[in-house]
Amino acid sequence: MIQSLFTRLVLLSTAVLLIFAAGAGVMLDGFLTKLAYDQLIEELESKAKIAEEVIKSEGVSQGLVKRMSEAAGARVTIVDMDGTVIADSKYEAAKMDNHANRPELVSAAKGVSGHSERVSPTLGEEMLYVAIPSDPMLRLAVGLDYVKDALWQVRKRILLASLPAVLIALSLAYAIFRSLSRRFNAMREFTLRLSAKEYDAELIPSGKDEMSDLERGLVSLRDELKGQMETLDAESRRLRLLVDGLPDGVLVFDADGRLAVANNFAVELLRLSPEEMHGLTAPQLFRNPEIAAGVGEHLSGNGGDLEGFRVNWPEPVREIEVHFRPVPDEEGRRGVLVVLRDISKEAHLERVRSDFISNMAHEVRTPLTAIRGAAETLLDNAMSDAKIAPRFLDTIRRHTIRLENILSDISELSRIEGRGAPVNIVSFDARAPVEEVAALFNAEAQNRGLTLTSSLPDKPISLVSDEEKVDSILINLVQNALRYTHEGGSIEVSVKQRERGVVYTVSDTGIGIPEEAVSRVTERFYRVDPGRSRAQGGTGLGLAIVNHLVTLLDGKLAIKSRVGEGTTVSVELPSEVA
Amino acid sequence: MFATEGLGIEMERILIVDDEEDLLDLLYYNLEVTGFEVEKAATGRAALIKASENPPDLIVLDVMLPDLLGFEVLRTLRSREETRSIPVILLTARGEESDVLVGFEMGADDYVSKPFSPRELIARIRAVIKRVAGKESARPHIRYGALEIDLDAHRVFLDDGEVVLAPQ
Repeated sequence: MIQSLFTRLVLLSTAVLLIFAAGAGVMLDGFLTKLAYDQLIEELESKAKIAEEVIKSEGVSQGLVKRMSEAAGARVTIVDMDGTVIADSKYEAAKMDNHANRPELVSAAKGVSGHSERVSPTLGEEMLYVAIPSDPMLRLAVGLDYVKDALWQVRKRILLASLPAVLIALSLAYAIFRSLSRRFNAMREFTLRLSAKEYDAELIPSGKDEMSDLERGLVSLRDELKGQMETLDAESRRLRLLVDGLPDGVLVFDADGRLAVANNFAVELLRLSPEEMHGLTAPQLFRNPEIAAGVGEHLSGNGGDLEGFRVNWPEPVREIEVHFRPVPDEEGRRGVLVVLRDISKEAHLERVRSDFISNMAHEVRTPLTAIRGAAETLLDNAMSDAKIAPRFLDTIRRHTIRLENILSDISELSRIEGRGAPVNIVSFDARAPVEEVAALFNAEAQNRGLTLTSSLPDKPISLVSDEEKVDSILINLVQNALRYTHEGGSIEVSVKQRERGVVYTVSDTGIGIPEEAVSRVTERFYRVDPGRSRAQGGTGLGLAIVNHLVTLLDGKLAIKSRVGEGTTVSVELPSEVA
Repeated sequence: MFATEGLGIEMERILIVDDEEDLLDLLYYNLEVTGFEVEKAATGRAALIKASENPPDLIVLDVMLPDLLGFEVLRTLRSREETRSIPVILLTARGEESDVLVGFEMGADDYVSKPFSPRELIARIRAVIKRVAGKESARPHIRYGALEIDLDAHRVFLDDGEVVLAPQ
């Protein structure tokens, strides 16, 4: 195409040049020919006038005609007014036909000089005839061959002289077109690359012509485009990061109901690669018919309810709240934005809360039943039974204490679970809580037939933490150990210094915890053996409280246990609470 | 069946199942004073063993047991030939309607929610025993192999599943 544009330009300019040269040549040739003829005719006319004067004075004779012819260098013919040839320098007059019809003589007979050009029937040569009006008429003629020869010589010279000029003009045109064509091609290549978004394309403007303006314009256009695209890219990258960073799944369907955008979380939820998902419809993407239907309704403009609804996501197992929002798609038509909000955590907390409440109600109900039952039994008839009455009164007392314990544990738990639970940080000797707890439970351990020992390092261990909470942790743990250790068993409380803190350990030789239950013992109201726990005065909250306290103090709780052999609970605390 | 005949020479035997020792004691005392023969079980397994070895006239069953859920005990009771028709009263936590519905569906005869008065429980026990006894004597049944026809209720059972008959 471009090659042909260049070729066409060259061909066109060549053609124009040639046509112009040919036209000029033809015109020049005509002009020169006419000039040569006119001069020749004029010359012959003036010679004829001289001959007329000679004839007037000397009279016509064959000898004179011959001499005149020689002097003039032309054939001389004298013709009578009626066309009869009187004398001729080349031919015998008597043998010549009447010349009245010759065009130059027709004109001369009318009193005007005439001329004509033709092949002479007498001589068989192309001749120029000139006749002047006189009586008799005088005609001079010369052969044209030499004139023509002369003209050809002139033509040849002109042609030879102009050929280099034409060649120079042509090669000049060729060179100019070639350079223009190259620059044009470069610009074309450049714009093609720009439209292919290759902003590293180069174009070097040359010279100071209009074309270089165009080149400079294109280069600055490229710079502009490059800058804008970079800004746009950065913007869209930022936006993508933002959308991908959301903890919710975000999907956008266009007006045709096809997926246009999906963020990371949505990709995770749908378990398809972004490539697989792109362009799919809602029924193809979602196994849940409610979501697919919701997308359809919002696309058709019927989805008025913007409240989210909950869906149990099968895989990965999640609880998802689905929201719809109408959004314009790329062409400004009605699309729909689907937000899949992961509420698993909230739902879990909600469940934990409601479980806690129902567990609590249940926990409270049992002692209440015992109290009410015992009281009514006493009122009905047992009061008078001296053997039974004290037993039921004791039942009432014990279950009242149990209610108290439950209530105090619940309030303790809610106090430490509440945000900003006051943590009273002081510096103290880490051995002190162990000594205290040992002293506190020594009597009870003896009553139950257990050995309670403490193991302490000789030197003080500095600990910056909440001493009251550390006490509370150890009290809860030792209480548990006392509850679940048979008579004759032993309990040891110890503290050891570690690289970055201290480790408190309470170990017993008790009944132990089954393996599958170890991870659950810190749940509220979880009991390995509810009957046994209640019988021992446990509320099911002790380890939940310990776990919370340890978390508050940035520590770690570890439980190791073997059924029938005993349990070791260790609490690792940092030497300084942040 | 150990349905009482005659004038109460034979005392009804009640099996009480609860993991709370104090409650067992209380119920034991009250039921004994009232004139029942009482057996205690603290776990679901113990209850199943006792019920199979010597089927009582009625079982009072706590829904929350340490080893098995009360419902599982109930289902097992109902699946065994020797314990299938023993009436059962469930002890449930109050306000847990779903527990009550599940209990009835599984064949419980009545329920009492905690906290309850011993007197109320005894009244319920008596009512259930009376009702069951009445049913047993009043309802004429025809049995032939796996087929059982309740002539009063116009119901037919095959292999203990009811055969649904089109109404005439």
